[in-house]
Amino acid sequence: MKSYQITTKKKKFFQYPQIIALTILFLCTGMFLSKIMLHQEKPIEIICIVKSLDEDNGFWQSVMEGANLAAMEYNAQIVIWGAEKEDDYSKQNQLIEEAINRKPGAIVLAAADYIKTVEAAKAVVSNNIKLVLIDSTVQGDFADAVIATDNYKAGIRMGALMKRLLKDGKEIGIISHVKGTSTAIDRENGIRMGLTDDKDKIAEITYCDSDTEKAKELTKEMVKKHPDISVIAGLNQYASVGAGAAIKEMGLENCIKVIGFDNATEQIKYLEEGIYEAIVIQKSFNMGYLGVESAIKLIKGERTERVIDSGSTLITKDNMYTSLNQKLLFPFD
Amino acid sequence: MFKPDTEAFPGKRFGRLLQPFKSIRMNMIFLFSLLILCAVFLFLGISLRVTRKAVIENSTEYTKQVIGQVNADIDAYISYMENISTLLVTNMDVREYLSTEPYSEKDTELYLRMLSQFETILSMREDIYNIVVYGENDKFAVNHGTQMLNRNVDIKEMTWYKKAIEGNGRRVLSSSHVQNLISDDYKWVVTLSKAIRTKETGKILGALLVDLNYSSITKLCQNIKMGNKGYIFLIDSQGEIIYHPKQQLIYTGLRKEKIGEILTCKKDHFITTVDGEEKLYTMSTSEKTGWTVVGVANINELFPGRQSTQSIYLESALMLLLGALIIAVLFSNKLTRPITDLRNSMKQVEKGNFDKIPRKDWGEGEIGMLHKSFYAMTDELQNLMEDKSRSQKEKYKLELRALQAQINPHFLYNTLDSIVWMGEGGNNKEVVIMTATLAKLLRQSISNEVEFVTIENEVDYARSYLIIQKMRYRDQLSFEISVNPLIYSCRMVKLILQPLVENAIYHGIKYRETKGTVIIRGEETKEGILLQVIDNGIGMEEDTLKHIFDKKDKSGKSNGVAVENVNRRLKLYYGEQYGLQYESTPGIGTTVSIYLPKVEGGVPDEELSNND
Repeated sequence: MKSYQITTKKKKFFQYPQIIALTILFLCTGMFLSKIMLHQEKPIEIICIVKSLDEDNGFWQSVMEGANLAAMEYNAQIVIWGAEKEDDYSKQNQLIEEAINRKPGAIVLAAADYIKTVEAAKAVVSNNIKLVLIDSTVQGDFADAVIATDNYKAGIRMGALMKRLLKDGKEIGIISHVKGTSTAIDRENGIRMGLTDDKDKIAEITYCDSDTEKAKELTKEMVKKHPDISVIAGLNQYASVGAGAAIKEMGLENCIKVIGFDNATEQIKYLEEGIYEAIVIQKSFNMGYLGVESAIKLIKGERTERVIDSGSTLITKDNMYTSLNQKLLFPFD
Repeated sequence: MFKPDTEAFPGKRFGRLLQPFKSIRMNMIFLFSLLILCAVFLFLGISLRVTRKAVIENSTEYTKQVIGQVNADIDAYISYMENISTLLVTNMDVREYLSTEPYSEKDTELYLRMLSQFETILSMREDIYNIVVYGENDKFAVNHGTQMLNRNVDIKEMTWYKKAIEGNGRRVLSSSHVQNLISDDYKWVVTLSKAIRTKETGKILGALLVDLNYSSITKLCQNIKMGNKGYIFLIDSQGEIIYHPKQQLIYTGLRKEKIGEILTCKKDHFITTVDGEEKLYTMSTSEKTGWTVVGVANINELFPGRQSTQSIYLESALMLLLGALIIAVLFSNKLTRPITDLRNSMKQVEKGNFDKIPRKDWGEGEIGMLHKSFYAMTDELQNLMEDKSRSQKEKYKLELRALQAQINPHFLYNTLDSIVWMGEGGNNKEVVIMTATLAKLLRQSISNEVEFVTIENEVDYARSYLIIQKMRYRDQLSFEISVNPLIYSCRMVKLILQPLVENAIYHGIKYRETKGTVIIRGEETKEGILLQVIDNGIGMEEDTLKHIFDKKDKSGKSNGVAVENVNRRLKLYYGEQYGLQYESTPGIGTTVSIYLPKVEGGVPDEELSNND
């Protein structure tokens, strides 16, 4: 009798865990529903600061194109700023400051100077704005992501080609762009690596400060000063266009081989004409696209690679019109 | 041999899963919910699937129309360009120019006439970039005649030229490419070329090139919108991309397009997954150009209000579930109530309360029948129990009668002994009294057919007994009877007073050293009738008093039997509220109170005994 009475004793409502589970299920579904209904994405705002807004500069134009396309793909708002001249780091620092004041979700920056941009770039991070560096980096390891050509690798490509072109007893001249920028440093080091035991044949490295005219003059001077030079490398668009122009003017295209960097129309012509032996081109579009893509992912809190190589290719006269290369060389209108 | 074994009952675990509750009702609600949940989600899945299928079919149809239109536009466009090229290839000036010697007067004249024709076409059509005629003899004419050919390329080695010569008058169409034919000019174009032959012999003189502005092709595709994420693109017969809205992403390797699948697909559409999103690819290939227009639609976007549709489906499903749950709660209550009711009835039966069972009619269903059977069963049970208690009572009464019939043999023996002594002592008068009293006592005792006697009779009986005892104990015992004569005519169970008086004498007075007194009192009270037997004997200890109604006295004396017997009889006949009550103080005496209902005379014996 007693045991029977225990089993028939009325149980309290809350003693059924299943009921609680059912209630929780209902609540969860409700919450899920309301989340679907109320879900609205906040607009993402990104400010992109490039080195130069020069319309003749195919490289930066293409970076901007990439950046714009990424912003469109991800439905983000983007503003692109930049100084007129590439080496104008003080103007760029001002722009960074202004950008910080507008409090965007992220700033995509191509640093004008490896050292002098550091303070401004640090201010971005300390203001809780995501910082994505593209093309050129700064000293220190505080950026949220870096998307750039592996300049060291590109340098090795150039160096290896130069080593092949170099005849016994001849020398190498290098026209670099801006002293102290990370791109110049990495490219120079890469060239030395590519040259291996021929690296002591570098007669001189000069800096044209991203000025074509200056590069031309410097090249002429260098060739006069070191008559044994048979290979010249220009380390960015301005440096290599200047070098090409100087060699063309001096009529030395048969004695001195030039290797260029980047793909301005001028450079493509030099390549066709045979003044340039080859050019190393960067995938500037990728840089812009991946830079903005990373910025958006960082804002959304998704996982991204901290360092991305946007890639580079060596192009010679023979392969410049292959289906793939022409698409990299010539921008679509 | 029964051995509980899970192997033998594979459904046991499953059953437990389906019935996790102890109560039928909760199990029913739970199963209802489970069933409805399954049904609702099945319904949801099916309806979404059906909707999706219909939408995809519609969308495929729509996309086919759109890309068919694009294809027709491109075909029309290319046809137009073909007409221009045919016009120029068959132009006599062009043919003559290529066959005349250079630098002659006629040559210049033909050249200028030819250029003016180029001029007309170029001014008419902005989408034509270049018109170039190049002869086997290296004579050429370019656009307005002001532009230079690119010195760094060998024109006869260029694809357009070689293919045109090979084509021998057939139109050759290139994919999109950069035109490097003209010095300082690098434009993205689509090239249409054709060999120029003499009218008479068909000998090849050279080739004509017409460059179409690439953007005029892209414009045809760009304007087509297929949702936010849908797009169309163009590939040639080799799978080479002519136009793609995200061509840069594709060329730089950030995106892949499903070219292989498109080329191998035999149907005109397929569904594939790109970056975790389902896409519908629809293709249309032009006979004329060999180009394929591919329309890509994002399947998620095909449902305009997919999310809201889904949430509406889900919401209504939940409402249904909620409604069904409420119904389940109500319905299960209706279903389980008869069972709960039956359980409550059973509880009452368990306690023996047959009269408290609520009898309801639950219809002719299984449970209704169960109730009926239950009621029939309890009725039977009740009858059986009543029979049993009645027969028990009968048995009791018989037993009592037997007891009553016995007059204590010791008492009889002692009394007779006393009479003998008195006779021998010559106390004739006393002998007469005692013998007469004994005779009266015996007569009263023998007449045991009746259960009930008047109180007067009962008191007389006690008196007779006391008279005999007084004569025997002489100076040791005195008695007093003060019963209100008003209650003499009331009836009571017989043989109550005498045993109590006997007790008072044997256990109280007997142990006194001086004379003891027994008083019998009787009066009417509010509740009924109260009789008392009071003695001033030695009294009882509290401990003894406690066990006075126990069946067997600890000391083994026979008094307990009498008291217990009297008390039980009173309760049996009159109910629990009646009976004996003892009060006793050691050294002072004992009072027994007898509580009785007031029953006026004339009530038949049998009826009374049934009415308890």
